[in-house]
Formats: sequence, structure tokens, C-alpha cells
Amino acid sequence: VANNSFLTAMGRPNREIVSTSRDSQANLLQSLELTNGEKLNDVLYKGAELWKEKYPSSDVIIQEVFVQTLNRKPSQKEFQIAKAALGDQPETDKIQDLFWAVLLLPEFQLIY
Amino acid sequence: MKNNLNRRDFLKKTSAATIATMGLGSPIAGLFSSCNTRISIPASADTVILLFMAGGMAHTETFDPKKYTPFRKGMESKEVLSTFPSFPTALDGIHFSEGLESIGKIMDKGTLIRSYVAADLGHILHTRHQYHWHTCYEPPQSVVVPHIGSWIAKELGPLNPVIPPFINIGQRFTVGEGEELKAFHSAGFLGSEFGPFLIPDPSTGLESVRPPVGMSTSRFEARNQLYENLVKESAMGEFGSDYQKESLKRSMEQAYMLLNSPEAKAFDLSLEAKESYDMYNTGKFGLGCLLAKRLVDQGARFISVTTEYEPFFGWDTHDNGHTRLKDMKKMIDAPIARLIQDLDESGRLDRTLVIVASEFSRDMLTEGRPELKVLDQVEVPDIIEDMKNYGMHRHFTDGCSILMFGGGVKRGHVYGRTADERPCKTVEKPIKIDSIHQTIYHALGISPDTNYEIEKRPFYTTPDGHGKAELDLLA
Repeated sequence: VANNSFLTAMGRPNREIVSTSRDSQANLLQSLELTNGEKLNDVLYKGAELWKEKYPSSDVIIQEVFVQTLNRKPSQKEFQIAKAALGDQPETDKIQDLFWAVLLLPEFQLIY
Repeated sequence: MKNNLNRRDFLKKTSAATIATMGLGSPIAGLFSSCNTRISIPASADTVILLFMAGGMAHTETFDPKKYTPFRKGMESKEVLSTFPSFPTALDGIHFSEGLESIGKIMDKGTLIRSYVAADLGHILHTRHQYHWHTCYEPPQSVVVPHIGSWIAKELGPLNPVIPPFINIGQRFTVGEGEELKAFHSAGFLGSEFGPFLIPDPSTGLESVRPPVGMSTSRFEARNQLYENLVKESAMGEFGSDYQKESLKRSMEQAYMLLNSPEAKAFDLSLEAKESYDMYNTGKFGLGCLLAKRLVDQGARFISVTTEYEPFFGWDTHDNGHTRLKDMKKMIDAPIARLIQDLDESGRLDRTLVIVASEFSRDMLTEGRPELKVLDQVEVPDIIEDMKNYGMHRHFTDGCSILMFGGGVKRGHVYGRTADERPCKTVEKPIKIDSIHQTIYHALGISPDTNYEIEKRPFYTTPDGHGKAELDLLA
């Protein structure tokens, strides 16, 4: 896979140099890339378009996002928060933003 | 201390306990446990701007001109020391090469070093020498070595918490030798938190600090609110390690702060007054200097602006040296002079150290240094018939010029001297990269014995802590 700014920010080492340590802390450069990086933004947008076609309602989308990313159902509270953000008839943008918020949860991210 | 272990620490600790006898693991008494006895030095600078003339800037064609020999068909190449006439600068008896008039006028504000001697690294490759200039270590190394900007970011932290402490302007990695360039644009073992914030093109710098293209402010706010609400409710809130939660949350908050801060406007060059913008705008490098000025106004710590290295472009003149240097000088002269003046007028120059440097110099005949010549890379005819052969095309390491302004550096000072005849090598006060680095650290109040234990050996800012700050450069 060709390197890109997303992978670089996430700590993919350069093949030409020896790398013996990995960060165990998140940092500003990573979170900026995650927040406004083109790569992640594009991927999430495309995914959101697919999901909009695939799933009939906000309720199903919320359930599926949690099951597929975190391997569990959302709590009642989480469901309400997500539902408030998505509305009844979710648009692609809203789905994309839900993806983003869930992917950035410390629960989804593994820093090691 | 946090009680929670992350996976990596857990593995390290357990492996150390169980297989220590096999000599494999080690408890790593804190990867970053500093083992130094720091000497405290009063700082004369808070900020550094490094203006890098990537590709090898010939001293005899810029800040250390020698006898001028105009072009004529049939001239002997050995007669040629400088291909430009020179002019007097603001410093008594000091001349610069034609095309650098603006910088010449402001030399009373800084120090001119004419005796930088680059290292012998064998067959000359730009990226190896650039690695050496920026890290002070000779490549290759067994660990990833930090860039000088990363050391400074690590030791001093950001000056303004929302502005990244190490910003690198102007270098793309998609050019030739891109991987080699990446090798020294790294925080290495200090951790990527201290790595360069990369702005390959200053005119699009704003894009790196604003919400994704096409996202409205209200949507950006709503998305962030959604995230925060979910974080609060997440099961991780109960069971996750503080280490991970805190670190991710802190960095997300920092990003949000930067993207929303008034300081982010510093990245937007379109907000600069037109008159000022035009004065800086000689292209990418000039705009990089303008961006550097705007960022320093908002509290940047270390900024590097490069003319950009790309093999056979920029200062990397393997042919047409004379013609191409006219353009290079036009590119740097006005913006560098303007930057120094602007910083001086705003009063920031006193605490901002500006350095103009290159990985090595050039000569028409000598490749390497006179007594230690290395393989010639460029054919130079004995008799010059064609303009394309008129210029400094070989790599010369024995006499290079560096300019320093502000941050405690002497005003109107000249340090060192090169010979007036070929080889135009350093004849007085040779200074090497470790001293240059230590001088910069000294100005910033960073102790010369700063080191970290990396893979069970101390790792210093300069190899084994060698090199002394040259106090003669400082006021």
C-alpha cells in the first residue's frame, strides 16, 4: 500500500530507516489528520453513501454502527445521543459524522 | 503515576521479569527518563526560524564573493572564482555577491559566519549532508534520530499551546530522494508529538488548520458535540486506561482548539496586507518567510522554511550555475531581508533567532575539500566555451557561509574567513555542525548535556555531547 499522509501521521515508519519504538500516546498531528484529513474524510463519506442506500432507518444504522465497530449494542443513552444527531431520515453528511464520532472514541482506537 | 499499564508496557515488564536471564527484555526504566544533570543557562531566544538553502549554496556566489571573472568564450575554468561582481554591505569592508542587495543592507542587524566546514561523509549526497545538518548525526543511525526542531519542541514545548512547536514549511516528499528527506524530518525516539507539522505549500497552509473542505462551521461544531457526548457515555469511560483516554482526548481537544483558535488565522496569507504580501512574494520560499513571520507573531517555537530540495533544482546547480543563481538570489533576497526588518520593527527579533544556512557550498573545480577530494560528479571542461559551464557546479565542503540574526546573536559581526584564492577554503575559525547546534541550544537555554537513555545508552543533542557553543557569536 502506498504511503499517504494519513498513514504517516498514524506512525507508519519509513522503510528506509530503522524504527525501534512506537508512540504510546496520541498527538496533535494525528488528531488534526483525523479531524480534517482528506483521506479519512473521503473514506467516511463514501461509506456513508453506501450505508444510506443499504439501511432503511436511523435506528438500524445506529445499531449497526455500534455492533460493527465496537462489537456491542449501544446503550440507551448512546442510542438517544446518536438518534438526536441523525434524525429520522438521515442524510449522508449526518451518517458520515456519526461514523467519525464513533471511530474516534477511545473505545475504538487502540494506541500502543 | 498511573496505575494502568498499557499493552506495550505490560509486555515489556513481564518479559523483563521472566526472560531477563536470557538477556532479551529490559524493564526500560522509563524510555524517556532523562538522566542528565542539566546546567542552567539564561536563554536569549525563545523562537528559531531556520531558512534552509537546500541543494548547496556556493559561498563565493553569495555571502563570500571572491574575484569576479566575467564570462567569455575560451576562458579557463581555473580562473573563475566568482561569476558575479560584488557590492559593499552595511558592514565595513564586507562585500556580498550581486543580487543580494536587500540582505546586504540589513547585515548590521546580524552575524555573518564565513567559516562553516561541512563534514566528510564520503561520496557527496545532498540528503546525507542535510540529514547531518538537521540532526547533527551522520547517517545511517541505528535509531531514528530527532531533527533539531524536535529537540527544541521536546525541551521547550510550544510557546503558545495552540501553535504546534515544530513547523516545517516548503518541503514536499514526493520529489526525488523523498524517502531520504523523510528520514530526518522526524522526531525519532522523542515521539511523534514533537515531529514536524508539515506545510509543503505555504499558500495552502490554511487547509491544514481548518475543518475539512466542504464542512460548514455549524456542522463541524455539531460533529464535535456529538463526539463529546458519546465519549462521556462510552463504556471506556469506566474501564479504559487513563493513559489512553487522556492522551487521545487531550490531542483531540488540542486539534479542536487549534482549528477554532484566532491564531489559526496566522496560516491564512490572504489576510496579510497586500503591500507586505507583495514584498514577500517571490514564490513559495518568499511566502514561506511570510508565513513564518505570521506564526512567530502568534507564538511559534521552531519554524523551518526551505527553498525546497529537489535533485538538480534550486541551489543544486550541476549546470548553468551563473544563470540559475540569479533566480535563486531573487527568490531569497527580498523575503529574508523583509523578514528580519519586520521582526526587528515588531521587537520580536531580540528573542527570535533566524538562521540562513545550506548543507554545503560549491566550487567550480573542487569536489569535497582540497586535501580530501571525493569523486567528481560533474564534468568541468578546462576551457569554457558555453555559458552552461559557467558556474559553481561541484560540491564544496570546506568553506560555507551562515547568517544569523536576533535571539542574542551579535549585531554587525563577522566570524571566520576563507582564502581569497582557490581553493577558497576556511582559513580562520573553522566551525562545525556540532558547535552550530550547541550555539543554537545555548541561545535557547537548552543545556549542552541534554540527553535521554535510548536503548540503554545515553543519546545527546549532539553526538556524545560534543561541540561547544561558540560564545563569540553571541552578544
